[in-house]
Amino acid sequence: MEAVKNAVRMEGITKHFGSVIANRSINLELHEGEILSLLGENGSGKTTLMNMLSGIYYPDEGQIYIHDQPVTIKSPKDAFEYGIGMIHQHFKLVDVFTATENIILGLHEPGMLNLKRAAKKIKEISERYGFEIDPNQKVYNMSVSQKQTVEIIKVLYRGADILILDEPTAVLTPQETDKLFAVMRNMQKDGKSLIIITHKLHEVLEVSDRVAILRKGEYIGDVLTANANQQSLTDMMVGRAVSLNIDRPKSQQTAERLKVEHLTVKDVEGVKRLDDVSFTANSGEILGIAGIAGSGQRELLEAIAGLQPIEPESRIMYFDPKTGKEQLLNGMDPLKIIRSGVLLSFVPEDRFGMGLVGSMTIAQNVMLRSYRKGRSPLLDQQSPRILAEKIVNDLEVVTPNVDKIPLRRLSGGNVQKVLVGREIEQSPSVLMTAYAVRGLDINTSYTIYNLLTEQKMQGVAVIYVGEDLDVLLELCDRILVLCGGQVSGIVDARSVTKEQVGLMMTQFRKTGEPQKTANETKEAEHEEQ
Amino acid sequence: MKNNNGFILPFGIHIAKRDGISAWKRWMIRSIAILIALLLCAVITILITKMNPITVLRSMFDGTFGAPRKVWKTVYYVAMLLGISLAVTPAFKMRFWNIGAEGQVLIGAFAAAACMFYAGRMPFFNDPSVSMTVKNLILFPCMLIAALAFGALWGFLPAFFKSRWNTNETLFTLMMNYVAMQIVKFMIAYREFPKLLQWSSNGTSVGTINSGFQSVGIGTFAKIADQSGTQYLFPIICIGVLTVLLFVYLKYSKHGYEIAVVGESERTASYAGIKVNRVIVRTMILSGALCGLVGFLIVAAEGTVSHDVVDGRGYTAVMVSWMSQFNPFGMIFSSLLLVFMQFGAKEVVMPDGVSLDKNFANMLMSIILFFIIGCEFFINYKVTVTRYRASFKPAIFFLIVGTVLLHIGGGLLSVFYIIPLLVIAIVLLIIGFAVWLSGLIMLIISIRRKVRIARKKHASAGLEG
Repeated sequence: MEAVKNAVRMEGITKHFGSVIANRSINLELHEGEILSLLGENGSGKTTLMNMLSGIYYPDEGQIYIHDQPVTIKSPKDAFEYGIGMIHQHFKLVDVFTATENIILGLHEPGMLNLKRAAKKIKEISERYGFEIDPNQKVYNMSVSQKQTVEIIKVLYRGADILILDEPTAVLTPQETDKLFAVMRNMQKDGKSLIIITHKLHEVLEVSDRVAILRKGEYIGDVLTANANQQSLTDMMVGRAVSLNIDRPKSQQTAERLKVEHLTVKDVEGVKRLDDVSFTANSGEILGIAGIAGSGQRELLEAIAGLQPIEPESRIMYFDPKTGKEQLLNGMDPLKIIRSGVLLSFVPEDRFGMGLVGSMTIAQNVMLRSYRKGRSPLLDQQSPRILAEKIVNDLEVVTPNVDKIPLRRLSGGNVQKVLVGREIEQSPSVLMTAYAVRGLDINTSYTIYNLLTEQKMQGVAVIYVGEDLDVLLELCDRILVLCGGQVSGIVDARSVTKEQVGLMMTQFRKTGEPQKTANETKEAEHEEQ
Repeated sequence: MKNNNGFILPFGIHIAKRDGISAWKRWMIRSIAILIALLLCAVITILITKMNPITVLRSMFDGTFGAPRKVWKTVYYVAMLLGISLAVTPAFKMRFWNIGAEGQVLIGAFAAAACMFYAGRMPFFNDPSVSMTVKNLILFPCMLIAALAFGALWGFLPAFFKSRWNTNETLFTLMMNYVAMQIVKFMIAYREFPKLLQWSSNGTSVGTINSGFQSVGIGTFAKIADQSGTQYLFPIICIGVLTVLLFVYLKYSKHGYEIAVVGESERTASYAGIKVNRVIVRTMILSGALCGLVGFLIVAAEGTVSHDVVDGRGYTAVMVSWMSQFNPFGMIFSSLLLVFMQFGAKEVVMPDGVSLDKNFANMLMSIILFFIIGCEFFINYKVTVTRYRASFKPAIFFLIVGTVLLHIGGGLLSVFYIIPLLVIAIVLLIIGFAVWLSGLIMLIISIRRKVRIARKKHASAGLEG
């Protein structure tokens, strides 16, 4: 039997961050000409491992072999020399440059700058692998998937034969994902070796030849995709059998709780982020909001929470659950909303940038919403501590204490539990969550889904902005699809298919394009900061 | 294969962020840093003054705590520096880069002095039949209110512009310092000089607004039982109380909580319904008013004002505040250290009769600050030596360097009667020995490894055969 050649072999790789071990003596092999899925929950060390391969981090211990030669990769430049190219989750492109300019940026080719020659080479590459790209298109006119294409070509242009894609499908619609997979297979046929980082199981099964699984920084093992299924992979990933079903009971009592009409939001430059959005959120119902990242989800929630100035034609009506009295939320800031007795809870997407204070303790974070209570100029320290203890007990937050350790030291999942716990403890009548499970492991995600469902059954109107279509379809009662700041439809989550939602997410492409792209760039910048 | 170690060092240095450190370890690092700083200070003192550092330290101590009068003055200076540090702390906790304490204190001092000056021109205050107590009871509150108001104004302006038009507070507060300074200079030159003789018997005190007034004694704190220095008692008590109050304000009040949230993230603050702009303006008014209070205390204690009455303490205070990580009680120690250095150095007289001055103190102070601030790096980051690979070449290199150092040190020992050279010799000997020893250890380890590898090769060769 002919021995498989290894494109990459990582041996005993260990990486510490402070006292946290991100990777513990990992042995990983990438065969030549295969597509390997690197699977693991968030925080299992996938990206760290790949960053060491692409020269961003340097391993504390261990040795990397490229084509069976021991190498030392100290910088991304070294990685390129060994033919390793990584396509990151957040694109690093210059907006005002064309695709070609971006691709040759930083390449010191001998001779004069020859854009035409470069464009020709780009054309060749795209034809070879089936990319659709216009080399002279400016980046700010591109959609997310086009930008991703530029990033991939950038890597190929530099002659990479080992490609690493870090969660490439997170920002794509199902249709775009299919295209990407086709391209990946073409590259594979051409002899390139690929690693794809993802945590979407069906994609793993669809595109890869072999799956390598990491759990809590350790290498669990690998399995041929042909021998795996969703359940077996999940079990390997989590370490025990997990039920993948979300319970979705139907609430009997539904009533209008929040009515949004003609909501329009412009940003500082006067570009419409939300355009004439109308919908109703009912009690006893989870309203999902789907859309490509940056389609106006954040603006929508922030406008309702009083954090975004809205245009005069907009109307945000709130119906009090007890009296049924309606109240106009237009132009109210968060303090006014609290004071007028509107029970609105909001889990923002940017945890430390908006919802929490990283340097403060759990108790101090819990009082963020309620510290004003009482007439004393001094803080009430006692009741927030009790409440914090309650949240820690109820949601199984892992923490040494509630009033000493800064929140930033807790893991992402525990931080999110504190945030969600605090918002639920306000006993809201409207609960808005933005990407509530982003960065959480499967178990915590399901805890949060259950909490939301529980709230729904207690008669809360839940608004759930999500990115995983599978979850949206399983968790929500209705789904509102946003596209470029406009509503492209509100559908029944029980009957709609994923492909239909995917199509709706891109429906307004033509008209909504420029503003959407600007939005995304801003989003990406925000993330990087 | 590339070599991991670009340089001849036999190991790699690995820097990783710590995510927590025990209080014990933290203080350990700090003490080591201060110890090294003091040692370095000693070496420099020897090189410059050619005096025994212990003697220097003793005369510094004598200069600051040697006599009751000196103790009073030192404690008073500590209190003033502490007061300004306390005043800037709320602003910095809010991440409002207020480097305008200098101007805020000065304008407060100026306002207080102006009250004294104009009071001195009023017939009422010159009427000998009115008792001093009554005059003071009227004048002190006026001075205090004026100082608070002007200080608050100097704090309010940059905050208002920041909250309204998002101007840069660092530049704004810095510029306000110069405005305050020029106002004081102008008023001294324009208002004071021609009329000075009216108030002063000797007319030598040009450059102070109320110097003539000082002899009258109102508007300045009285000495208790004619003891020199006791006029500083009231300011010291004031700052003491302020320390406790500010600690409570920052840690236990709702305002303090809001300041901390705004400092961490303005978006989080507005999410929580905190009006960020209002908090910024409110806190800066407080910060400025506290600076004004210190200005009042300075004028009332010293009975004079000039454009450099604050003497850079507005900037030093920023350092004090950060060094103590915004803990009011920690600031007591930081300001004590700084004042001790500055005062003490003035008292040191070199063998050639020239006394050291502020500049020398500044030098030592900078060294100490450098180490104190620099050691924060080791508190936040863990530096570990990785991939220790002893090999021949660096081992030989270390051995040679160590030997050379030992030789130089030994040579210097022969001139042991020159104290600075003796110190250098001893340092060289210690370092040289350490380098030489590590070279030796490396050599032994590398030889042992070579032997081990050779044995292994031998064994595997034998296996194949």
